Amino acid sequence: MIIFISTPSIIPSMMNEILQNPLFQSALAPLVVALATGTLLRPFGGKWAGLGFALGYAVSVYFTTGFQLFPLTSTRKIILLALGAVIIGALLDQFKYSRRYVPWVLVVLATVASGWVIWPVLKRAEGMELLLMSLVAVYAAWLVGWFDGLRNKQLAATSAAVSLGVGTGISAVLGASALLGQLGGAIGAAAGAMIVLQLFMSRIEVGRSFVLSAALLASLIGIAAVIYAGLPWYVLIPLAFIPVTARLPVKNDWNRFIQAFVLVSYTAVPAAIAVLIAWQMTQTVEPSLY
Amino acid sequence: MRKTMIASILMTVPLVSFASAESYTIDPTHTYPHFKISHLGFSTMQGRFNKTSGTLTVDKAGKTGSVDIIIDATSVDTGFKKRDDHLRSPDFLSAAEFPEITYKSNKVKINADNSAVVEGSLTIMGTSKPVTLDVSKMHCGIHPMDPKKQKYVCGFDATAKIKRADFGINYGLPAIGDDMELSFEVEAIRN
Repeated sequence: MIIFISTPSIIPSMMNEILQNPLFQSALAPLVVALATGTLLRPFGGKWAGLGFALGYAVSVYFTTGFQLFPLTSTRKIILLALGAVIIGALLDQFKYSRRYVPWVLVVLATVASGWVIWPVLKRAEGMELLLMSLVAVYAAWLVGWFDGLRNKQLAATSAAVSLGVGTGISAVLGASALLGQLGGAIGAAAGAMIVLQLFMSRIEVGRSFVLSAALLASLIGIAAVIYAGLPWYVLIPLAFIPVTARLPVKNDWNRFIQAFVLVSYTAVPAAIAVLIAWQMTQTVEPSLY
Repeated sequence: MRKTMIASILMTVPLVSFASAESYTIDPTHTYPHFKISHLGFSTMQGRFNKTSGTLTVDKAGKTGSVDIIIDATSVDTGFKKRDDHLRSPDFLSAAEFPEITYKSNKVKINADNSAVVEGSLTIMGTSKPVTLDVSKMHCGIHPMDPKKQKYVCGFDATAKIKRADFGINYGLPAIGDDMELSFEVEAIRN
């Protein structure tokens, strides 16, 4: 009989391997933390449970890039802006501030945010490049606007966020940035936890803290992947249709599991098209924006 | 009168020193920064930057000089396009965002055996850190292939060690090495 006795040095080494694994960092960790914190926050109110998304995502950021602020790269700007989006969204949720102009203000803020992220390149751009970059910046405004319209459609918003995160993440990896890919994938994982919570618990509301941060994060990651990582800009076109497909009809008398399955299926179609285009284009020597 | 004479003499000292400093322009076809980094602990990956520009000054009498080099971050080359694209991406150099890597020094000490120590500042992704270059084999003279025998060239090899995390390049740590060995082959033509 052979008895294997593990030495103490094996355990830290295994732990390090797990902590450094991209799947752990961008899928398992945000999923588990979002589930756990969403469950813990639920007694304080449905909208607080929605903050589980932000906390799950924060854990993924900690493992992939850390919370180091300088040098202030585009990736760190995106994380800072997402934090701002969570705060603004949570305040709007808590004070139930929903004037008609609020979505338009959010859209303008999203455009300004995308301009800040691409500013180092935007300030050097001229002519056609400048026009293309301006169009790319509109992507953030579009997604934030459409997602804001989904804030009261709980399952539709979370399903769209899952597909958008996964689609953006895989496209970014194909576009040559594993980091942006991981940050995109983590949106999908943390939003997936919110779907699970919605299915198994009552009174889970994702609110603006979720839709604003998820849409802004995913759109800015997509933009950064185009501008800084060579992802072809037209990959963003199918991704932009994800929140549109989340509005396709789902019967209210269907079981919630079936509703979630159908909504994820709807939104997964444009995500899959984006991934397919990214895969096709990055196999060739197509010139990207940069 | 005596004070005026001493002051005049003292004032001429920096002028003499300045007059003996020669300025050079980097020859981009013979100047390449190279780097080595551990690839997941399996092997040591080597690469280089293909585009470099800048100026040098050399004061042979004062045994000093200055260095001002600009490296095009987008020109990183490891011999494999997909990997080079990844190195240019936000994971590492974010080259579209930070297109220039610079090295500046006004503190050059040339030794009697023509080796030198250069204490300067390396800036990557907008973060500047002090980096010391160890220079070996500094050699200056007329270029032997110049038919007019007028092209005066100074060249040297230099090495340095840095940690990429010091410049905020954290992706893939510690699997992809933190320690980087830099080596420079530099030639510059006298203006």
